[in-house]
Amino acid sequence: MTRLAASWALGLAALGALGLAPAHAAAEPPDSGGATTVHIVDASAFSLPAANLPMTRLADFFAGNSFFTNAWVRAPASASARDGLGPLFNTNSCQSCHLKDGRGQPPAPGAELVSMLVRASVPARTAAERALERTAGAVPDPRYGDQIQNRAVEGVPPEAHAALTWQDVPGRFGDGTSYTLQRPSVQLAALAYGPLDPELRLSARVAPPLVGMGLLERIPEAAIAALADPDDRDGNGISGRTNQVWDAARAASALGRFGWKAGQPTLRQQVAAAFRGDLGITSSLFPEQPCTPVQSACAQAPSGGAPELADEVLDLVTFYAQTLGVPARRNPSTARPGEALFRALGCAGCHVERFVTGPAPDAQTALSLLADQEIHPYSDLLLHDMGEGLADGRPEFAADGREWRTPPLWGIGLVHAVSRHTRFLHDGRARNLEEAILWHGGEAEPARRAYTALQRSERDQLLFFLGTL
Amino acid sequence: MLCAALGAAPAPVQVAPGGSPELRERVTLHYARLAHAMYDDALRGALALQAAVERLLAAPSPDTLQAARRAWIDARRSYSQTEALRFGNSNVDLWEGNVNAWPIDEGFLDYVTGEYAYDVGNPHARENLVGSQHDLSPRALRVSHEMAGLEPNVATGYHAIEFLLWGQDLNRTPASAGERPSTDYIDGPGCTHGSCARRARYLLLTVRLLVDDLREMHADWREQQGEYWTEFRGLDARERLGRMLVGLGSMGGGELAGERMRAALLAHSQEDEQSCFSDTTHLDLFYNALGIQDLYLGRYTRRDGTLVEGPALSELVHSVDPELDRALRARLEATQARATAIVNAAESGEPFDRQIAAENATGTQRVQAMIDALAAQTESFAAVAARLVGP
Repeated sequence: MTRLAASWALGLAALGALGLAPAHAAAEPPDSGGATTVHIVDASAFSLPAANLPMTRLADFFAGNSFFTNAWVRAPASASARDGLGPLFNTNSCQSCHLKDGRGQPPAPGAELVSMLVRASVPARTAAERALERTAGAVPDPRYGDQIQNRAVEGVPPEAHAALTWQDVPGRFGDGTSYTLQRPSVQLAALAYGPLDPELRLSARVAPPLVGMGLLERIPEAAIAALADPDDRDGNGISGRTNQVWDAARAASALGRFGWKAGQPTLRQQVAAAFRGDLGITSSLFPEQPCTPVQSACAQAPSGGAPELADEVLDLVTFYAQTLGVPARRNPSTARPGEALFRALGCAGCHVERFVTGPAPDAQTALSLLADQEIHPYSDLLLHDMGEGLADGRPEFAADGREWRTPPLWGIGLVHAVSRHTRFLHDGRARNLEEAILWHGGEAEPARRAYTALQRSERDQLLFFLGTL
Repeated sequence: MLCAALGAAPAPVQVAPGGSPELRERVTLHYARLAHAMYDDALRGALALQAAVERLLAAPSPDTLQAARRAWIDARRSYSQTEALRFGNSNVDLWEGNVNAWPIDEGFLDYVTGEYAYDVGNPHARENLVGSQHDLSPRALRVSHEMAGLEPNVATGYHAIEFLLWGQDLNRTPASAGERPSTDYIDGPGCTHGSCARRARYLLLTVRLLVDDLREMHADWREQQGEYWTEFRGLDARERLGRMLVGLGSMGGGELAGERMRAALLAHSQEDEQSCFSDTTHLDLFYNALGIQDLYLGRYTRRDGTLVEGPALSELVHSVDPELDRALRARLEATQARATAIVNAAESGEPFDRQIAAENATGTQRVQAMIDALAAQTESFAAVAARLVGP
């Protein structure tokens, strides 16, 4: 935290809070995150409050950060509201996986997962399960639930040891140069609750970065829906679809925006779902522990309250995630050739560059700093068939086993500075941005082919452009 | 200076919206002068701490340990006031993590017993720099600080020293703090918890690093010579005022009211308490708030009792909006009163970790009252920023 706020004040961001953010020279492209944009690009780049966050809201931001960062403990801990961890969990703080608000990564081969997790589900086989699928997105494994929790409090067996093994996947550029990608497969060992369902589908996911989440939440639904082209009527080979998911607070279907398959409609629900699934902490949105019928020790373990997470804390963490600033681009003018290639190859067909966020609704005036902003997330928030190579075979609401939500690219050039790694894609299989491009398939197959046909120098220009985002 | 400004009726002259350029110049340079005086005291406090630690290590006993702890509390009092210089001045912000990092996964540093909560994502949470074979040199401590990029791996600074002097606060009684025995520093027979010679070396190194760090910051603000003083002097007055006000607002409204108080109050947890080993968080809060008030009023009482005063931000605000100045001074005073109530309770046997306990209605109300006061003063600082700096 010390560093977080520290760096905030180092540059223009601080003056932004006073309304002093400088106007851009006309030649420069607009700021990635509109008025929220922060101009600090060191390891704290993803952790800074929006440049236009009023001074009077800093207390909420700082308090939210504290709950995002600090570790939760098992219940009952002497009168602490920071208890309630588990019984089953993947980690004990948000920051463990979203280190410095950045992205997670796969562990060394065979080592336990730390900043990633494994989702699990089975096909719907009964009417009841089909009904469940509509509100839960997928049918949980009857013994292990919808997520493999590889850690647990004392007295409760962790579900399994989860690790990854890797397989080489060779390929060749148009110029004859060869490359080798690597594909992970999930290995579950030490299964504590009996055999896995024979039809079980597993999907390994790294923690996504938090960049610009509040702004993505404010993109008007109509603007996203307008980009959807499920039947590819325009014949460009790209047929984005919206995910329709379950909004637990409204008990209604809603547009999915967050998560690798756009399975969550709001940031608040995303946060609450992560608290329950990843930390084992219940909230008013998700009041039940994810203990399955065979997990009796889980069901009988002490609770940290009903629910364990106070709404006030849920709201603070949500506010924190909403009001993180988006880092500014670096040297965008030198990246023009790569930017032109990005467009020419069709990347921008899904990685949509520009949106304008909606006006602040009356009930949300506290978040007016996110309203009416011209932003550059490089995502359409739609689902796309990404081909067999990336498929996890696990549906989530309307998303099928080959579909993934276009991940926003803003901040992608700062991943190494923030997280000290360059692992990309949902399971972190890509070891750099080029590998991430080479994994694209399905609707993105023509773009991938066009990339491999480029000269090395052109490929470098495109990668250089991505590095400035 | 301040009294003169307040006592005389405002002269009927036309002033610029942000105050006269001449006054803006004098007020901002006086702020730098106060900064230098504050770091001078923080350095003196750290030197006294170093002397007390040397006495402890030369002859470990309950008395020398107690004296070292008193020296830490005293050093911390001066340092805490300087925190009002954070969040606006880049030199302070880049440096602060080395001297004041918190919270700590204390198993990273030394032995731990009992229930020890740490981050699952921290592979070094049980590193035990003291009890392992890690190289102990000034450079090694610097390199180990925030190992693997993880902030809870605190190797240097006040809170590392605090843990080495007090140990974990296991709350054997409600009012108890950490109870590390002085025998943890006996080199030879009688050593408790092992690695006593290494622990002694570690403590000495980290205190010396703290002194080095404070020397650096002290030099940085030296009038006419310091690197940051020169940078600050080179800025126009609007930018200087911007840095001052962002700092005063962020420290009080964000760091203090948000992270250190509201989060702690909501969590009811000593893990959220800044000086949790020594149970002196109440003093941190009080002196943090005092530093903010001092910088606004342009006056600071030195460790030796002398008063440094000069052209105040308050005077500048008064010149453009007397009512705003009056309100902000009253709000700063209200914060002081509420901080004093927390200190008084702590000194009557109810440390901050008890005051934030869920079942302690009086204590939590007392803490909430200071949070509310900080929110009010921050609102005023935002208004001041709008008047003096922009938009």
